[in-house]
Amino acid sequence: MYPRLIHSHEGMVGQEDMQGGSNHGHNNNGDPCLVLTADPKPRLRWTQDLHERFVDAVTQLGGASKATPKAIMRTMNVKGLTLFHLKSHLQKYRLGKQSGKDMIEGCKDAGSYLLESPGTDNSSPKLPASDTNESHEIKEALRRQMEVQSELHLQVEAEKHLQIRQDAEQRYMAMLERACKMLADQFIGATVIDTDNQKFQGHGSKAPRGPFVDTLGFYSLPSTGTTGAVHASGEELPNLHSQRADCSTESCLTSHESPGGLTLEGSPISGANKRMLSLESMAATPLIWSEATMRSQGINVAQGNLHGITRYGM
Amino acid sequence: MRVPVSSSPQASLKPSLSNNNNNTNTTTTTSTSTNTNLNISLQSPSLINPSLCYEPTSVLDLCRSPSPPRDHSAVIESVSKPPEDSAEVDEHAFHSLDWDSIMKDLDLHDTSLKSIPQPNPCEPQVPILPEFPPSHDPALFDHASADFNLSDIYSNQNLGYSVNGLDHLVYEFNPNSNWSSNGFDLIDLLIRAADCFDSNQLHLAQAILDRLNQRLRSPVGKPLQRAAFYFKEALQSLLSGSNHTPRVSSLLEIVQSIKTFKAFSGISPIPMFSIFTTNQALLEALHGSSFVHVIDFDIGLGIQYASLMKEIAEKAESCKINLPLLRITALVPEEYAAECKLIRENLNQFALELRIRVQVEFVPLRTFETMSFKAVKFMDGEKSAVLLSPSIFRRLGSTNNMAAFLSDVRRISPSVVVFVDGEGWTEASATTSFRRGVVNSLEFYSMMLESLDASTAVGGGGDWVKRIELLLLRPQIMAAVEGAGRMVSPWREVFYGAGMRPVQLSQFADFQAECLLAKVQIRGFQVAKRHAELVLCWHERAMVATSAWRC
Repeated sequence: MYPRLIHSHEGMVGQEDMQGGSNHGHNNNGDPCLVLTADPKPRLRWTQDLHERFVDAVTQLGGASKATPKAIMRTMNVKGLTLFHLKSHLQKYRLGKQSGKDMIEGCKDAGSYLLESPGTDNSSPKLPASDTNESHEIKEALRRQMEVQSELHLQVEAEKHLQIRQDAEQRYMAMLERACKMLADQFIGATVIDTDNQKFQGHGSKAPRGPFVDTLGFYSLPSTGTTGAVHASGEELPNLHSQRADCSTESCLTSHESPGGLTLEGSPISGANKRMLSLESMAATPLIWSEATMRSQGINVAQGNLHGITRYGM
Repeated sequence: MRVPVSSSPQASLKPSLSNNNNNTNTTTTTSTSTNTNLNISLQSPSLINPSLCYEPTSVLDLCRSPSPPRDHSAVIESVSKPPEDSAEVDEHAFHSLDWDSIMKDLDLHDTSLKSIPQPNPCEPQVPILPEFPPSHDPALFDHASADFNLSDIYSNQNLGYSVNGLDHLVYEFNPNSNWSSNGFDLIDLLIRAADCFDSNQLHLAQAILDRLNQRLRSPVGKPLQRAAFYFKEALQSLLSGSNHTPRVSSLLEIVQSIKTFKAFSGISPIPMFSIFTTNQALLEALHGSSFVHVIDFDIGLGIQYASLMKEIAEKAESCKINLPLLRITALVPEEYAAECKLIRENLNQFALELRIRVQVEFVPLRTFETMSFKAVKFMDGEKSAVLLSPSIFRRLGSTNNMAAFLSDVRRISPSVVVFVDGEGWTEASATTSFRRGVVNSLEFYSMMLESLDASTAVGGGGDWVKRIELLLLRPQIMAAVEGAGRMVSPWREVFYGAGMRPVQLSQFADFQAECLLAKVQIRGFQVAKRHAELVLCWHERAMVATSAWRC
């Protein structure tokens, strides 16, 4: 897997001493010429010298991110160097730059080069003894490369799963809210049924007092027995149509705190049952109307109170 | 964060307005009380039952006959006595102070404030002299003179004790001088009131709270101000003994809670961080098992199980597992009636849609207190996980109980114990007094409110803030204040002491959290890893901290 490689800076012995039966990096007239490996498929060997030229060119062009293979090719002016060579080498250089290439630039490039170039020969390497130093560095480089890739992969996965989870939560919260509202409606409906669906004249006697266990099997506040105030005449509550349930929240909450604070205008409900206008009925009526149920809830709440009476005088 | 249902603070405390309960108090701490006027005795309801697994704790017993004034430390199980509270204030210095001038300076001669510490015939032993907070600066009181000006003490500079985080908060939030002189006063007063609980000066506490009531009328303004308001309310309710009876929530209240929680999760990353990190910790520990049992001590409304079930379903699908089973045993307060039904029905429905099986069981906490994990049904072959939060520890109330509880947890050999801290416990300095507990919480909730403000500034939804504060945060604040008097060791110590060891969360969890933050785009939030916990910070202060532990 690690065919003959160029030496790192540290392991640099000198061009002449390069192993593997390759050509010299320089010909007689000093121009750099390309060194090809002796593998069955000749590949470019990025010698120290060539690499230095490469780095020079890149820095001239303003850095790894700014330089383009075409420009580098022109700048380097080395015969036989193709865009393909430069593209892949530049990519490796950039990656190397990210993870501190200084130490092992040459080797790293070579290592990853061999991994990434098409048609990499995967024959097992015969590493000469003096190459163990390089091989460590190569392994390091490879490891780092794979780390980066797996991290990226993990991030993509995390994002995907986050989206799935968020969607699940959104769906569920909507479902829960709907279900809860429906139960609330049913409950109030049950109360209506319980009070025989008559014209409710506001007498507390009809209303069950105390902990009220409705047909659905759970408890509610004692006062709620009287929420089933029914106006058989089916009075409309015009303002409540436009009220969002939200708007009534504050008054709902405050009415819960200070149940005596609200007045019911025009309601047949006697004063004794004012407590019924606790949270349930106040918030219930908008819900009921917005659900367009056909119960004739005639709780004629003073619409103005929905705004005015908050605990905090706002 | 579990959705707290607004009406029922998960407090285990009930006011007992008779002396009888005091006599049945089986703890070693409280002595028989005399006929005290203000009789707020906060006891755990399990006090009555002698066959308890977890010994009843007597917390902040405010009605004790005040013998040596500093004896209250015996009431509260303090594990480590820090110097500040054990430093006895030099009482002799006080005796030479002129009572009248003090009262005048304290402005308590106002006719409006009737609740002046008059020598109450019923409380012959209550020290009349106001005891100053244990000050680091005893020199301040040494030169006692008749003209000793108490207003000096109230100004920030002279206060002996340092209020670390709050100084920063007050300065940071209120650079203009309008607020600063007032603001310091308010916070100082609040802390002073809290301190009165420690030193059992309830009348003084009430007086201070009355004063505060006039200045903090509504939760408006800066985060610190609003937080101060809620804390004032909480202290007041503690003093007047109201709000302790947990109420059954009505369905409409629950609807409002759900809506508010939904809005909150859309505005701030805090709720979703909590949910997703917890679920991730669970999933990692359960290794994709298809037979899972989660024992949840703080289920809220069960919203967090939606994404957990979804993940289980996905995993099962990819591994071609047929019908995985998720069992959930939720330990709930007694008043949890409507919620139970709601949670069960909806989780069942959701599971049906996902084509997995779910079984939801509810066990009342009172039952658990007597029977421990015998109250929970276990099945062979399941992998179990335990979810904890500060609420159960508040309920247990003492270090011993916590340790006993954790050893019970270990005995059932769960695959993982996940602790989700959404109340600032993870960074809080050791609570050695009620005041410290209140200060810690005040800091935390101020930061929380600040983050909320910032979140709405970025993403809108400002009209939900009030509701979020009211329905979600205020109950927590109430519970925090009620529990602040309990002296427990820092929870990590107790965990380690019980033999539990933290498990690192994966990088996936990390990435997920960061991705979440990237989506909300609110500057100020960060994800951090501290002590093997994954923490969502607001400006360096931990808002939610999730940790996984193995037994």
